[in-house]
Amino acid sequence: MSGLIEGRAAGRQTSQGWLWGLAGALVVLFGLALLAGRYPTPGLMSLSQLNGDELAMRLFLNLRLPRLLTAMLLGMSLASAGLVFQMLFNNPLIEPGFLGVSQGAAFGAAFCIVFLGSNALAVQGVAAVFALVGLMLSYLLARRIRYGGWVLRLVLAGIAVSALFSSGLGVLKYLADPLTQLPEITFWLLGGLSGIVWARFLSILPAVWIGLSVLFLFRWRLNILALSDEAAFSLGTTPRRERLLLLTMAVLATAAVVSVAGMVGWVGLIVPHLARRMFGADARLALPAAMLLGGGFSILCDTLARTLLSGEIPLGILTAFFGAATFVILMTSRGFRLER
Amino acid sequence: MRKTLLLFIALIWLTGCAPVSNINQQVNTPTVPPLPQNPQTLLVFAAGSLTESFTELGQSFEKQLGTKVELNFANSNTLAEQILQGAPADVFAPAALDFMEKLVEKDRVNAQSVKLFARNQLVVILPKSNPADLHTLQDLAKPGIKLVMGAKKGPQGKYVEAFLSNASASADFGADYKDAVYANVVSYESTAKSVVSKVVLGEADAGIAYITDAASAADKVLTIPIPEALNVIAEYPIAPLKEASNPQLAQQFVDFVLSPEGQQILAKYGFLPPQGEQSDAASAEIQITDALGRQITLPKPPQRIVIAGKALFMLLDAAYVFPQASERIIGYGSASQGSSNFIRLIDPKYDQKAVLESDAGAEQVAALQPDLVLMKSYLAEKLGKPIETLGIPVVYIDFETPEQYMRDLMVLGAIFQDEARAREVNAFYQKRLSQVAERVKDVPSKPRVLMLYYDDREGTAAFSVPPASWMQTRLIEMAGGEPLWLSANPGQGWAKVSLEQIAAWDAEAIFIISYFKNPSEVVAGLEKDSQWQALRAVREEKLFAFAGDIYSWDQPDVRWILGLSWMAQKLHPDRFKDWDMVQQASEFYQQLYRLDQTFFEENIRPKFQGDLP
Repeated sequence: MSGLIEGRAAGRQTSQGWLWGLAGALVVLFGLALLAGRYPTPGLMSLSQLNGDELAMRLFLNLRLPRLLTAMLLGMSLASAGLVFQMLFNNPLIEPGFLGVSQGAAFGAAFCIVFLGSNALAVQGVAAVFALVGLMLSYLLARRIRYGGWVLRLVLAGIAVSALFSSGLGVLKYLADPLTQLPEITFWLLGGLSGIVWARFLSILPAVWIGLSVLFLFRWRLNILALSDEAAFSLGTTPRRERLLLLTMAVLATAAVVSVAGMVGWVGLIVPHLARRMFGADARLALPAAMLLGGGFSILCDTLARTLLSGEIPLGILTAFFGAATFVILMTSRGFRLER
Repeated sequence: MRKTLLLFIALIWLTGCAPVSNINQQVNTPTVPPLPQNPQTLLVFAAGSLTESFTELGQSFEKQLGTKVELNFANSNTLAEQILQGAPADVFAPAALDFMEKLVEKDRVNAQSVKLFARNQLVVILPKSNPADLHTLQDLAKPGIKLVMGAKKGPQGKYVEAFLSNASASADFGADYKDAVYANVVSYESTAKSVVSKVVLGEADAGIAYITDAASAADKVLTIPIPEALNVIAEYPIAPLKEASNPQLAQQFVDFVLSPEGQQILAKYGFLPPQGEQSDAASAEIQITDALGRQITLPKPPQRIVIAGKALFMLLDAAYVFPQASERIIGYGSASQGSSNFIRLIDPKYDQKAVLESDAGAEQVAALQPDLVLMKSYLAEKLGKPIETLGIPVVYIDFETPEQYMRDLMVLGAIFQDEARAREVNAFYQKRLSQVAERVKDVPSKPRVLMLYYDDREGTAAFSVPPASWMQTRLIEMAGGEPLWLSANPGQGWAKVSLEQIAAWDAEAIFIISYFKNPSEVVAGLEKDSQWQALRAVREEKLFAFAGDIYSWDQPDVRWILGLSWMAQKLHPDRFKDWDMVQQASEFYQQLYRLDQTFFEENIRPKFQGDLP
């Protein structure tokens, strides 16, 4: 018995080592991504070039740095929120935007583009407000549904609210100017970070910071909260209240990043699976792993998005492509684990 | 079972949002005021020292505008007197500001309209044989030599006196230098030209002339330069006269003289550019107010311009009315609509341009190292701001309504330092606009018109109407028709309408637009359709295929003015009997792109589509 416990502890230590390795890899990736781009020639820029060219320096400091930081926050938020959702709902097909959050944000953004003008901060603000409105509607609706457990009720409510918002979005697309507004809506729906400057990064930082910190600190409670109400209660939690807190934090971070980046799909769905596959279902390891993997994944995709072609590739297309490819590999492989 | 259901729902939801096809543009403001037409001849009074340069300027101006330029050269004093005594002149260009001031005092010239356009310097000239063996400026004081110079009262005489005074004040020459030189003068000539001819003929040992005059006889005279410290710079002002028979044309000539093209001609004859502009005309600062009303200062004229965004053929067609565009625009997004590309046809440097994807971001644009980026104002947030954080200036232009055309052409004029060209093109647009407005202004009843965009790319034929703010709708109103559908399209893009609704509108005339299929074929197909045959417009043979050449003429492209003329003619055939659309189009290409008749017949005419001869 004691041997088994020691073995598990040793296993966790190895995994922690891997986690640090992952963090190191993320830092290296971040550094490389900063040097990659279309200027002056497509590919990596050398440090001497960076020092010698004023335009390159401005590009580096004013565009690439805030953009990559936002990409990292985007991946971290979506992946960790996805993990939290999947655990709390006991449902591996859920991603963080499904409770009316993504469709609410999309509707809000399109509404702002069509009726209030396409000022970036306004679009972002309205999108964030509607994302939270989507969550609230889903929650209130779930409480009114008369049958099923609360997981099923929340899922159904989320689907209904999302459908309402997407029909509203359809109307807005019909009304939009096809040359100016519609491309903007489309671009927003496919996601992308091309307009990020420091001001926009800083505008989402507080919400993302709070959301991610709370999730990170509560990661060990997730294991308990994933159990049934009775079991969780008997282990000393108040499951409803704590679940609501964690969900709100996850949605807060998601709404913030979605409001600047648009609808970037698949990160929140695939990365949690990848993390669990590598580090096991224990949220104490899987959550930080999901954050690191998510950050790395979206940095990678965004770097490709701005470097591959002379035009910007919508980020959502790349995350969907790489996400789906990874998904297929995960589903068909016999499974790999770093430990045990 | 539950999982399958969830998976199914999740899949549907994930594939929720797809892009939709697009075509056009927007925005609205009031109509443009009409302007008078151009009479034929422009009378320019210019100083004698401008003879060669203004002759050439006049010729290029004639070639560009097709108006005759008559030049009257004499000494500036004489010209001023003639004008004051009532000689009919349109433009005055004397060799010194004094003479211009005289006319300003007598209220013949508006003080604000006076511009300095060139500077000149003095030089000492000697016959090739140099009979008096003169080598330095001091030699001019040698007793007994024969010296000629301009009349003391004339501008040149005054400059000579100033030079001699400067020299006398300097230790190198001595206080009596001035008097000694004047003592040698054998003749004061009435014009700067005759000083040169006396020296060339050997009738004088030396003369004091303008550098420009010396340059025109460079192979027949020797020169002794006058050092900068002593020399006096002659400044040449120019202005249109208040009572000019055609003030607009007069202003155009003044603008032309000040334009880079005009300045180049002047530089060829040895003139210096006016003060404030450096010797290199390409280093002047430029102030612009762009489409968003922002004030932008460009430290020097941009030489690497990039145009970013989508549906660029409209912006590019407008930019290329400036001859400088081919040289200074180095990259842009797609310049075509469908498979048509006008820029490729007219720009020999087309293949050297960098091509941007339509979604290019700030970094991709920066990679072209532009010194100015132009884009439509709706891109300000997504693209404009990030580019500006890189220190690259951005100017917004829209070109979506007639008013924006007038405004944005002036913005481009400032950028290309060719405001004269912008005015010229604007004048052309306004002339056509006012001609149409004049003929349709008192029509007893406006025909009720429907404009339909035909698209069958989705498998079935679909008809859409444009929103009220678009150029298409504005064109109908300007052409003296009444658009029927305005309440049916509350949005900002094409809105689909059903055949039932089309029948209910009961339009007197229907225009069919198609960008991806020949509109004539579309109309031929509709005329065979039994449902369409029942429509009133079809029965009365008022179903028209919208005209176009390389691009359809209904769009806010430069060709909208052709679309207007064509539509006015279709709606009011009795009032436009004498208008030949082929000739109108030919004139359009001649005016906007200086494409001649042969080019038009070979490259544009074969592309004609819609109801055109």
